[in-house]
Order: sequence, then C-alpha cells, then structure tokens
Amino acid sequence: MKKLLNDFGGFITVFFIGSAILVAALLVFISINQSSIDNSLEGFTSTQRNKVIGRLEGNPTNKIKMIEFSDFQCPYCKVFHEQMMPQLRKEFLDTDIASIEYYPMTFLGEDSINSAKASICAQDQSQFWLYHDLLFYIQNPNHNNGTFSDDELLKLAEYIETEDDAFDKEVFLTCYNSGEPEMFLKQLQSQATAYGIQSTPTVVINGVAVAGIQDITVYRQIVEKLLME
Amino acid sequence: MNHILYLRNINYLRLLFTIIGLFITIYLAYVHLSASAELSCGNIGDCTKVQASIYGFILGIPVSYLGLSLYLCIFALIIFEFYVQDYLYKYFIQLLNASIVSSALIFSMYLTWVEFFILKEICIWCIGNAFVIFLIFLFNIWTLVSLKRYRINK
Repeated sequence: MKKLLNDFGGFITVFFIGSAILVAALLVFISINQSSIDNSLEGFTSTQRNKVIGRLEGNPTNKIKMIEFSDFQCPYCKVFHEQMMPQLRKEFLDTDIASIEYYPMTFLGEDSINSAKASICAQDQSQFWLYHDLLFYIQNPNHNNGTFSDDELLKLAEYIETEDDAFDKEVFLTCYNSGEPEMFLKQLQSQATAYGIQSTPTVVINGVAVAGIQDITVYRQIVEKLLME
Repeated sequence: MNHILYLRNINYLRLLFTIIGLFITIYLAYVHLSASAELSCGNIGDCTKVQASIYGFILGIPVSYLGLSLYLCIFALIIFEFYVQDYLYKYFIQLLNASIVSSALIFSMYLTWVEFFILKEICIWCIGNAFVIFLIFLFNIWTLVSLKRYRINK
C-alpha cells in the first residue's frame, strides 16, 4: 500500500483533485437543471363542475357523502383526479346521488405541506377547485423538488388573479404566511387518522373506506348498498 | 514545536469547525424534518424562502441533509487521522478530506451565488455554513502543505 502511494502519489493527487471538481460540477449541473422546472400552464383547462362549495363538489344534502383523502404530490392522486373523478362525477355527483369533499393530506413532505396550505388559502377566496386543478396539472414525479415551492405556488395564485378579478394574491399570500392553514390541515389530518387513512388516494363513502383507485363497479356497489339501507 | 503536535493542533481547529458545521446542518435538517419548526433567522434575509426554494433540494433531497452527510464524513476522517501515525497515510487521508471539502466548497460557492443573484435573499445559516467550509478547506490545505514539506525535508 505504502509503495503504491509512493509510486503513484502524483497521479493519486491529480485523481483526487479531478474527482472533487467533477463531483462539484455534477451537483451544480443537477441544481441548474432541476431549477428549470417547467411549470408552464400552457394548455391548462380547469375541470367543469356543476356545483361547488368550498372543498365540496356536488349537492351537500345528498344522502351519499364521499370524502377524498388526497396528496397533491401523490402521482396516483393525479391519476384519480384525471381518470376516476370524471366517472364518479358523471355517475354520482351530476345525478344528485352523492357529494364529495376533498381533504388535502401532507404525507409526502415539504411540497405536500406547501401545496395543501396554498389550496386552503385559495379556498378562502372561493377558488379551491381551480387551485386544485392547477396543482395537479403541474405535479412533478420527483417529490419535494420545489415544484410546489413558495414562488411557484404564488405564480399559481397570480394565474388565478388574471382569471378571477375578485381573487387577491396579496390576501392569498397573507393567509399562506400565517399559521392558520397549518392548524386547519392538522384538524383534517386528525380526521384522516380517525378514519384510519394510511395512504392516498382513499375515498370514504359514508364511513366505508376505499383505498387506491378501484374499478367504478366497486364504488357503484358500495353506493347502491348504502342507498338501500 | 514538535511537528506531530503542530499538525494535531491544526486538526483540533479543523475538528472544532467541523463540529460547528455539524450543528448548523443538524439544525437545518431538523427544521426540514419538522413541519412545524420554523427557521430562526433573526432579521437578516429570509432563511425559509431560501430553504424552500428549488435550489434547497438536489434530486428531492434537502441540501441540508447533504451538508450533514458531508460533515459526518469529514468528522470521521479527522478522527481516523488522529490514530494514523505514518505521514504518507496521513497525507492521503488529508488529500481525500481535501477532495471532499473542495467539492463542498465549490458547491457552497455556487449556492451563495444563487442566494445573492437569483433568489436575492440570504440565509444566514447557509452563509455561515459556506464560511465554515471555507475555513476547513484552508486548514486542509495548510496541513497538506505542511505534510508535503515535512516529507521533502525528511
């Protein structure tokens, strides 16, 4: 070993210096590359909903009450939003059979907390659903990579401001920077714990939990059974 | 002064700054882990904005975690070096340490540039951390030169 170090000392020194520069260059490259996250809203269209109140879609007096526990960072929640919700909407919400309330969960870390907080602040100005659609539209498969950083979330609020004259991004920002949305999220989290929610997406239909994304027939059977009770 | 004692004193200084760096990164990592904890930043800059920015993560891993691993690595190498007597081995452990510290220094210089020119907000903990890395780097170079000179004179 000692002979090796003596014989190749110069080479080893150059190797170490080269490695240091390479590692640093790699880190800087990754950082610059990921900073160019494309949160472009080009092509974005919001979902048409017939009746919304806060985080609730559908008629709140309907017998069947669904709760959707979802995380804005969770890829399956995005699939649920894009593929399952249109089916549920057509079959149960638009037909006045059920209503569904969205509970933002924060299972996946910092960006989940930020996005959930921001959605609650958008709700304060009656724009929860538009904000919800925007969050899922820009969702990135890499968790906690800053897709839902403070700046990006403010950009979404700015977008809503251009769409809705009554929306004020300054009010949104004041709400976001206050501790109120976090306290509210904790209440939602404790309700999720009470329902035994361990993963997202999970839909609770009048107390019956359906985890993951199931075939529409699964939801249909539960709803039919509950309607007969 | 005995040369071993002289080197040991530099290493104690390096150890001291490594422990300071460890405390900084443990605090930053704790704030990341605890959703309710908020970075205490005094009235200087906006630490939360810097930490929550896209530059606060590498492939989804908070930079503070990388910093914590870096200091643990440096700490382990310094302790290991205390037990190594041979100057040649000492030199290569120092070289390995200097290599790790150099890459951290270059990256922290980049992050400091990001704070000043892109985010236009500073995080006093991050600046402090960059300064600590710079000092450790200086001690590293000082020891390396000293070890090299000793070997040549020998």
